Amino acid sequence: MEITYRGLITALHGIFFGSLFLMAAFAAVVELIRRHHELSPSELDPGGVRLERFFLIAMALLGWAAVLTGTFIVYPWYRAAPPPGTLDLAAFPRNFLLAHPNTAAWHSLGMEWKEHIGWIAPIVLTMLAAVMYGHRKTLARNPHLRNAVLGFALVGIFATATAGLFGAMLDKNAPVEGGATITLMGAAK
Amino acid sequence: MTTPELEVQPQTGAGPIAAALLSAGLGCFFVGFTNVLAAASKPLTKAFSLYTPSGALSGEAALAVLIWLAAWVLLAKRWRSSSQPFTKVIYAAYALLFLGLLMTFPPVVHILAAL
Repeated sequence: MEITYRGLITALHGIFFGSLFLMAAFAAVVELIRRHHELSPSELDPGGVRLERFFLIAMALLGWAAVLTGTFIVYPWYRAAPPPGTLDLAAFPRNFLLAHPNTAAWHSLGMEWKEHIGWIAPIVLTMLAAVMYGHRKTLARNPHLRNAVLGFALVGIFATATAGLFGAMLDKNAPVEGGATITLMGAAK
Repeated sequence: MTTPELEVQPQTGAGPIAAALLSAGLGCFFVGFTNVLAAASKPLTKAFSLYTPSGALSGEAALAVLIWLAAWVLLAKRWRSSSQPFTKVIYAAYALLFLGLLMTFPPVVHILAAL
């Protein structure tokens, strides 16, 4: 079982940071909605407060890890220009997609949307984490503000899911591969 | 004398939350706006390319994050102890968020960049 270095980092970016971020964002939204249905604002013991704060910080960090590894590590591999005369474009995903009319839109719509909407997600969900971290009681007292924060969080989930969906589809059509081969299990024969 | 239930209540501690919402909206707006600017102008594409391997995206994102954080710090300081309802601020935050979101969508970007 082998994986290339670039494949591993891409998996770390999308499957580890990206998917965990999406799941954490979903959990935060469920928690906000749950608070709408409380008969009286609930209090947490110190352990619960610590756990909630750890979760919120982890959610924000996962978002930044996903977007930073995507923009500064994986994206340069994706958009690297092939040397003139290159016939095999498999190592140059952007050019590979643009070279075929049936796949060009994965770049012109998918990647171009993903690379920008992906940045909206950590901004919005860091705001959510900060507000839930530092203003728990104010949110509990103000359904008007809680609704406003919830709306932002839903947009954050949409942004994360859009970036994730196109990331997965791009990786199916033109995977980012290359670099050293890492053997995860078993020896190559 | 008690306040009628339907009257808008001052929202204690609402200032920092309104600041967080408006600054996040502003940050998202600039994610989209810088994208349109870079699509419309080659010199701006070059100017936004702070990290060449990532192209203009590096500068667009850096500028948006910088504006978001600066706005957050300034607004949080300004509204720290304010308890007004912030209804207009919330509408403005939503408008910025949706405009920003719209300006990340490539078909819209191409239309705006061609103007």
